Amino acid sequence: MKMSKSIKDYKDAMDSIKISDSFYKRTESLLTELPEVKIEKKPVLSSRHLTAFISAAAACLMLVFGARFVIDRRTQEIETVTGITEITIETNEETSPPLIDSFEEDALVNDAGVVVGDMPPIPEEESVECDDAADLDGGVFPDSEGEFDEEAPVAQANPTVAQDSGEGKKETQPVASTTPAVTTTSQTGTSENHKKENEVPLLSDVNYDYVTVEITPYFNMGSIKSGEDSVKKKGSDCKDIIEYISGLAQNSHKISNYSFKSIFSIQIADENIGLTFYSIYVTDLNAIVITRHDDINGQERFTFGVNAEDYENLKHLLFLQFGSEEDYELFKNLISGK
Amino acid sequence: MYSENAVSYGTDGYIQYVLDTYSQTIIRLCYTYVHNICDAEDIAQDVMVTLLKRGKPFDSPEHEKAWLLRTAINKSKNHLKSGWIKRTVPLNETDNSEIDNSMDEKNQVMEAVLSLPEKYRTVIHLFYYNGYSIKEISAIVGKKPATVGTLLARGRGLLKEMMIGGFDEDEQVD
Repeated sequence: MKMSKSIKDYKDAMDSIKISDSFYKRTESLLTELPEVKIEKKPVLSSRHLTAFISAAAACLMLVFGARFVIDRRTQEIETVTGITEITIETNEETSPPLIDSFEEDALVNDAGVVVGDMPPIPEEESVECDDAADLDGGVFPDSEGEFDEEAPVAQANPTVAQDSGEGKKETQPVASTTPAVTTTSQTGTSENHKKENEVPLLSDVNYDYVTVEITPYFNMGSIKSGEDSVKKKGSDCKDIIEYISGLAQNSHKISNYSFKSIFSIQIADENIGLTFYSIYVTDLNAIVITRHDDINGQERFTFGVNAEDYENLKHLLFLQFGSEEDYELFKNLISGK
Repeated sequence: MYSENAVSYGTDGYIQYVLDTYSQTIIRLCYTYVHNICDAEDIAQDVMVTLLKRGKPFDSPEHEKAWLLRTAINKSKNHLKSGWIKRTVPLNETDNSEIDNSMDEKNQVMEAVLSLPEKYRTVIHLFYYNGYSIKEISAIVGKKPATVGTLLARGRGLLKEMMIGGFDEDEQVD
């Protein structure tokens, strides 16, 4: 089938094919009778975008819930820890005399009396504790006050002691300066730690006219029973002590992860409703712990390493709330384990 | 919509526009496959229905044309593969009533083209009869322009062998 033809012949032949007249009518009627065509609007976001958006949203949600869970858990932990601490302290107060001379940490005090070095990471809640050691009190320190008086040398002449014949307790009016003598080491740490803006200095907000101060000893010495023989005074009567501790807090540096035992605790509370504002623990190993009870921030605990001189002054002031000047040397020996 | 002046997709005006613009092209393209005008019309009608059922407008007239012709090709192939066609004999083999017998020579050219293998036949038809460019044809048949050019050249070569004096391209439309 060989022919000499051109493309025009092909076009003519193709054009000669007759399309039926009914085709247009049939097709038009068919198309118009079709159900109304729903035109798909072009999606603003493609499926890929949608998937990415949903994934991102899910990730954000998970992140938010995760963060919330962690925060809640931490809050619960803090609350639990706080509760344990309080229970521990209360238990100590109620139970038998604490052991003062057993140090859990050895040689943690440097020459300046500031706690340094590689302290084990002990949780803060464990830091305030008083051990039961009933064997200490009786043997070393006889119950008789007279014997104490005979044996105890006068340690310092600074505090003057006034006998309170009615209750058998002694009121002290310490002459020692209420401004703590601090070493340069302490001062260096202080300026960094305590000059935070808008931070109310610890104990500076105590209204001495409306608070009571309860000082509790945690040692057995003569008639002084650990956790039992607390002294409750008006705030104004303890202003010197509180201000002294406040000065220490402002001029000493914070420490953490420190295990120690309390020698004295001081509770500063509202005199009418008994709401505790501050709990102060004067511990062995030259440290003080101040817990601020705040309705807004909850409990905040601060532990300070205090230099040896300030530490001695503070102990002296506090001891004189319970014993005489003559007994102080015995007290020092008891604390130091001699 | 691809153009502000274009008729809105899915409207009665659009149906009319598609019928006027593409029906003849589609029918004749289908004819190159099925070799039967009635079947070609039916397939073209099916293409129109499919177009309206598609439900979304085209980005451009080129897209619209390529989609229609590609759909026509696919539906024609499907028609040829259907069991009904395989078991029946087309009427035009017994009665070529739709072809003007007075144009025997021209019809012979058309028969030569229609006898080409499908891959050559389609590009020859689209290139020489519809006047589409190689780029347009590549979009319609879904092949690379270079492939379309090769198919076109080979198809022409086959036609030259089939026809005395070769296949004159003077009338081709660019």
